[in-house]
Amino acid sequence: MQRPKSVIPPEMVEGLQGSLATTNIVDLLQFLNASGKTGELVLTQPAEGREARVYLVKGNLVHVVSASLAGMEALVAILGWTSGAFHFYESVLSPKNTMLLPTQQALMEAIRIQDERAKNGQLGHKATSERSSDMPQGSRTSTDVLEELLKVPGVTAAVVVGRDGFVIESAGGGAALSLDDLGAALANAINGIEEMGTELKVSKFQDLFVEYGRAVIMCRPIGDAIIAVTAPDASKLGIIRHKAKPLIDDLANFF
Amino acid sequence: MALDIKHTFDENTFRHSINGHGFVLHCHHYMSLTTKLAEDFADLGAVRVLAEVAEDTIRPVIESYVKEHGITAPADRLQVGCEYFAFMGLGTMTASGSAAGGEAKLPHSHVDEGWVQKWGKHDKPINHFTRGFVAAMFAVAFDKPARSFEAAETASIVMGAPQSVLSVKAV
Amino acid sequence: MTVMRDQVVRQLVQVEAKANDNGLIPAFNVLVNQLPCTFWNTVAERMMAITPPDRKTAMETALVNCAYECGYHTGYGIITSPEFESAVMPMVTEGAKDVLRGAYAVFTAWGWAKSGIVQIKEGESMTIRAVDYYEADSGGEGRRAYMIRGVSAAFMELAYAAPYPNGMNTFKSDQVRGIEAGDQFGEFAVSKK
Repeated sequence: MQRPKSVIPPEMVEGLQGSLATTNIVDLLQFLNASGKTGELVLTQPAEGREARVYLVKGNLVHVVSASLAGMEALVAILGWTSGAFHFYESVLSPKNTMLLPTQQALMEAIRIQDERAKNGQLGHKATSERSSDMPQGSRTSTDVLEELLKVPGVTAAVVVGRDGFVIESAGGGAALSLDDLGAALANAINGIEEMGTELKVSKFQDLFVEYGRAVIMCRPIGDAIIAVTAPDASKLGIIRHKAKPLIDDLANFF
Repeated sequence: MALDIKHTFDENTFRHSINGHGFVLHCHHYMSLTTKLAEDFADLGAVRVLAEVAEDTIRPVIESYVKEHGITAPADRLQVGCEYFAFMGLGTMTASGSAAGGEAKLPHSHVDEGWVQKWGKHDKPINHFTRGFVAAMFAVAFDKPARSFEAAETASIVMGAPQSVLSVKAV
Repeated sequence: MTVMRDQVVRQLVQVEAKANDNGLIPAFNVLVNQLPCTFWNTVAERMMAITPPDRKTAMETALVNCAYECGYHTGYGIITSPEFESAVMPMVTEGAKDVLRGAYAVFTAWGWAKSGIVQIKEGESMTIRAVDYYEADSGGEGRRAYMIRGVSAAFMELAYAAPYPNGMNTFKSDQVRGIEAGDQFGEFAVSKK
């Protein structure tokens, strides 16, 4: 395929390239999405002899290809890349349209599939998860993990609630937040959702996202408790979910 | 006279207050075992400590009530103490006396009856808590500082008496 | 469905202990008393203060045991009471675990400690967290929530040890964090003896 290099301003080319060791792919795609970019993102892993191409039109993900994979399968595959390089070529048009979902939903779905496969052993957990801290679990408390969770860009509060609505622990959120009310509301909501799951004969809930305008609350079971993470900007949900995942996995050990 | 009781509940801490003082429910097992603990550590002075703690922590409850309600007569103040005694589930008490001392009678006593329910009769009086309670009542009644009165148990339900009696003396 | 503590607290928080004509409060198979929190806190503080270093552990154990026996007997009275039957039992779907959730909701509603379950390994161990409790106001040194320690071991026995009254001395409880010792909350680890 011929690349129309002549139309790309050199400073733009310089500005959109870098290392995958320091830039997360989800972050990168979120940025391109939020910036409304049109073009081709080329990802390379020379050591492994791998290459992938991602195409966007006005920020929307339209096509992903990697080796013999295309569309969602290719997107899932590249989320695990933590080394290599990226280069964005502005204005390159996509040869195909293999992505059916809007960008945010596509990213969330890819992360969900990746999580599912990691659980089922189809992907090495080590390759897909970036453990947040090297601190040994023994000396690390749930308070430490919650504090780390608050450092994830876009997260404003994290609350751990027992199944009975007892607010076990929280971080962030400010004094205006009534934690007892939030705990009770969450527990009641989760109970209702699980009852629905039982009625429908589907397994226990794994994730719950509640959108309030631009804000979103993400809930997930951790052990015998539930964590709720609040973010005022739903457009960052994909990256929050990706970055929060290893921390939430850690928290499950405490409850 | 019926006590004017204002029960409040803090929706944030879930603590309960009676007339502005933090209160909590417990049972006769807790009281009996605390009394037993004092006896088991008697060599350390634990019996005296139990009576003094009762005096020091009951006094503010009675004192703030009589001040807020403008109750000044010693007999009325003693009556407030007796009313609080019953309100707290500690039994029934009548008390009378002067600045030199007096007497308190307990036809019913949580400390005694709890002890009997738990362990049966005993060979010596066990109203250490109540001795402190009565000392606080008299100190408030006669506007005296703490440790102005000492109460001694002269008859005891746990020893088989029909009622417990505490004799109070100014010290 | 599981026990929703907000519903339990709402229903039970207004329950008042009223003395009978004898000035006694018979309830939950025990005689109840209602005393200033400062009384219980000051007893613990001064008892520890008069105790020489070589007997501190014995005194601490005794203070915990006072609450432990209270918790075992009163706890049984509570979980078999009409109040518990109407406020908690309709929501119990997970057996002993839900009964414990209900017990800590009652523990919260009646002002002993705003506390709840962090983790239960059924029949083995339990972690309790208390975000507010009157013992946090006590004077003295170190962690000193003797009442919550004792009652937590008792509750675990009521849930998982031999049926009442034969389940005592099966579990022990340790306090691993305390507001009174500068921590953000109190935490209690209950495990088999």
